[in-house]
Amino acid sequence: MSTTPIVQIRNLHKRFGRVHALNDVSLDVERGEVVVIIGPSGSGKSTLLRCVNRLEVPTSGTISIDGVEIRGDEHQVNQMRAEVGMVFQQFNLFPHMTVTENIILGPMVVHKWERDRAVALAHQLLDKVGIPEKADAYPEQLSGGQQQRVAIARSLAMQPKIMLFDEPTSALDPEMIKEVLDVMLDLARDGMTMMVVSHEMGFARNAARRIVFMDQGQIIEMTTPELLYTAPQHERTKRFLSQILH
Amino acid sequence: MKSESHPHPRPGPHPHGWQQDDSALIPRERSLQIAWWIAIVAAVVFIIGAAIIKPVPYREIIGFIGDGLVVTFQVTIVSMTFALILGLIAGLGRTATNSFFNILASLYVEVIRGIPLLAQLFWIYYAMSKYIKLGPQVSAVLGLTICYGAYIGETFRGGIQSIPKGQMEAARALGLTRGQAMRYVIIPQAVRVILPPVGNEFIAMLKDSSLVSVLAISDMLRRGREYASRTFAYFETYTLVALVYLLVTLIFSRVVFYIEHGMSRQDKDKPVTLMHRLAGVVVDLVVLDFIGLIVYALIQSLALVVAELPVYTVLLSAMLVLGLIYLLFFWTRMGRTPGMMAVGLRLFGERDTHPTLGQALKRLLFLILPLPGLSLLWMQWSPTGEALHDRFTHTRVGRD
Repeated sequence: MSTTPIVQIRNLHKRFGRVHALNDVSLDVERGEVVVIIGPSGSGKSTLLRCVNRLEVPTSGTISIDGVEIRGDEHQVNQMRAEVGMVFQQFNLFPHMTVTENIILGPMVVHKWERDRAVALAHQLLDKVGIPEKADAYPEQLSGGQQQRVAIARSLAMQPKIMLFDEPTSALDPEMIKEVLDVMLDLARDGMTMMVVSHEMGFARNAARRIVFMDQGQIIEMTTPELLYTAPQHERTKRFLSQILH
Repeated sequence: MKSESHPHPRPGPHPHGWQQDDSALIPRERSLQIAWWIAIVAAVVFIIGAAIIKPVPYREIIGFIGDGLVVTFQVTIVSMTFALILGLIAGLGRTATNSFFNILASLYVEVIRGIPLLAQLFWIYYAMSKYIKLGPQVSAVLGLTICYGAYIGETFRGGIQSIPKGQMEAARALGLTRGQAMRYVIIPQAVRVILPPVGNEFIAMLKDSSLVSVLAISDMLRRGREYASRTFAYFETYTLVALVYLLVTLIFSRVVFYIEHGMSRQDKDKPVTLMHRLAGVVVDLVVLDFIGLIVYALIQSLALVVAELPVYTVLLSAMLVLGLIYLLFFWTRMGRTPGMMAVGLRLFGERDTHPTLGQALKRLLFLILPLPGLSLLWMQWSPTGEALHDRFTHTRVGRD
């Protein structure tokens, strides 16, 4: 059982009207593996991530999480989402709740934890992401980098098996990117399975075992970060890399 | 997805949906403030002055239409309670993913908003009587409820849809169901957006309730008409009626103003003024009163079935329990009640948003315990000792 990939994506298609956002994508993610997905905007990388926790419903194809195929069943989807954390580009913290309340909401509502237990976990996670002093602050009182770290802590509070990161640093000012990437590197070292849509090359080189290049809804190339950045095989990959690397 | 070329730590709408450019609003706001003071001082001076200088028609008129004002409030509060419930259903229906409920709610909103309230009242009271004979009170409340339910439903829809899509996605990504996400994430945020427009709907209904005078309900306008037709003092009577409406509306519009401004005051550094606190308490009182009124209606219908029931004992204890549940729910979940939450303040200046049960009880005992039944007691109180349902429609001319 433990040898099966934790995420199995098979022949995934997703259409938005006439747009073919995902075109026959298959991908396995092993336990403890970090996979970075890159590609031009509109290449379907975010859609792929959003299909994994079913924020988008695939048009066809299958996705299995931890050996269980995810179908439309509402209960099963909620159960799966509790095990799959997601961090968004825009953080999406709940502005009417303090940092602690943001973090304890999931465990208390979904796992029916006692408040004390959830709060203890929240404090532990805030230590981990390096902002224990912000426990009682509201999101709007935090910098972008701090908000994103809270969002990571909020996902971790559900004790997920997999973490999805959808361009976690794209909405950040440059000086705040590092603090978020450091938290993600820590997570990767702790053995968290991660799927990361990001163009941060440093992170990919340091943490990722594999890097996936997507274009026009298809996986074009899949290899190690080192090889992709130094010796891309496909013309489209080369063109894309030359654009982002200058 | 936002364009990647423009990174910004906080794009999209303001987290509370309440972004205002204060500098642009100051001149207009100041002239509104001045106008408010001129209007209210003038109205008060005229009413009091007229009553002193010319007591013969004016003081008599005030005494006469006073009864009507109470009825106006009763009609408005009862109708508003039901309109809020209907509006919530309509609003949720308009945002529903299920297309059947969505179309049903949209149909209701479109049809009702296309018919004048007066025509609706006539239709319910006169046209429907061909099949079902409804009393004037029922018709009045039903008409106002159905009409305002549609408008309030649109307000609710706007409030719910003003919350960024990412909020629902983030909640769903944690594993919350759609209902849980609504309850813990979307609605608490939407309430802040919705409260001021709902306050304005309340004011509008207070004025529109004058239309029910055509159904032989003794509201303020009707009472004025009765007095005027007896004494032929049309000018004096209708001037006073207009001024009392104005006075009441001005006071409520100020409450809405403070609620609105309390909410843009999310940054906790700015001091919270006494007026903000009062506005928060007023909102709480209104909410509790609504709860009290619903219980009152339930128990009245129950009392008809079980006649020996000690009605008021049951009534008061039920209201106590409901008030308790209401407060404990909000205080333990959010550390504040909706009203105070709305004006963004903590009445007790405590930083702790998760009070222990003891703290919550202490706050509760201080503030709210005696309050849920206030409007009820006020409704029961009657200068002439008549029961409520008698006074509701009485058309007796003059006071004994």
